[in-house]
Amino acid sequence: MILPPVPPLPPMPQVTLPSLEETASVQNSVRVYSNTGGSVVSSGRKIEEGKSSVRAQVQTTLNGEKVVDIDRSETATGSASVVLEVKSSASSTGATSSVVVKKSSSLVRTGSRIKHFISYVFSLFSF
Amino acid sequence: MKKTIGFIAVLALALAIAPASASAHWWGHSSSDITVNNNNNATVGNSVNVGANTGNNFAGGGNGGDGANGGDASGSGSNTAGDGGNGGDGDLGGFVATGDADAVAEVTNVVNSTDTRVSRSCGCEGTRGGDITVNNNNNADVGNEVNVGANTGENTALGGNGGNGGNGGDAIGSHSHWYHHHPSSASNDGGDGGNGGDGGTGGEVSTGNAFAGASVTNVVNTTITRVR
Repeated sequence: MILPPVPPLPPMPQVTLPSLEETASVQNSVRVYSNTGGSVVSSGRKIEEGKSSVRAQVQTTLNGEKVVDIDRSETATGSASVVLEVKSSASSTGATSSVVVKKSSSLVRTGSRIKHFISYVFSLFSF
Repeated sequence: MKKTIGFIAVLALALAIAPASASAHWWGHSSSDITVNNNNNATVGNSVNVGANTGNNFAGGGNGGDGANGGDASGSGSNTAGDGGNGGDGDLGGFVATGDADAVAEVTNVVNSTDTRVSRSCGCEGTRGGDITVNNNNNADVGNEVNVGANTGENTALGGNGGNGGNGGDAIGSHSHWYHHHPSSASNDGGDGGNGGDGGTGGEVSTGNAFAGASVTNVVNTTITRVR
């Protein structure tokens, strides 16, 4: 049995892959802050302070690739201040990021209360 | 109890959807060649500040009044000036109750998204091939600065101040003449000062929750090329 000759294939188009010339620079600076602290009553009286919480989400996608992905939460109960600072930098050559958390120290709160107490004492001697 | 909410959302879109469908008839050069050039340049800057605050409330008790001054003693004979009145007591501090403070910021930047679709619908595939070339040039500069704060603190509920006591009266002009047999028996005495009032007892403070949240999403230089 003799097979018929195979017809020649039509000429195939040449597809050039996308030529990419891309530059990108993305800078993010995020600061979230919450505070339930620093309330003042006279000695012996009651202070109830709620929860202090923060959350920061930063995502950067360059050229289809996720190069920065930060999701950070912080909570302080009772009486507190919370600060969350997120900085990130991304470019075509790479990405960097930093996260800083600051919570109110007892020294800060004590100082705040001393300040209020002193102003209260001075007010007793006001004329 | 009231809840304070601060919210802001920013959405920046810089889209470049290149030819949705390019046929050989439209894009061909001398034959059925197809060339697509995409050039995108974008600069995006966001500065976002969000705040929620239920704080800095004050519920102090009232201050006590001052006592009156005593009267003066004057004239001959033995007289005693009146005492000063006592100062009033300060009132009790009040009650501070705050709700929640929520502050949220959302920032989304979609920059330089290029979607190129090349469709060869010329019917010429079987006759001769055509070259397809897609060139993409994307440049982007994106900057975000986001500050979010929530505050239920710094509330004050102090008792009132006590009033000051009044001054005692003065003794004025005790006369003693040479012809009196008992000159020392004629004298005027000043009154005593009044007592100061007591300060009021402090009140109470009850605060809600404080929440601050930020979400920043950047999608930059997304290139999709489809050839059929």
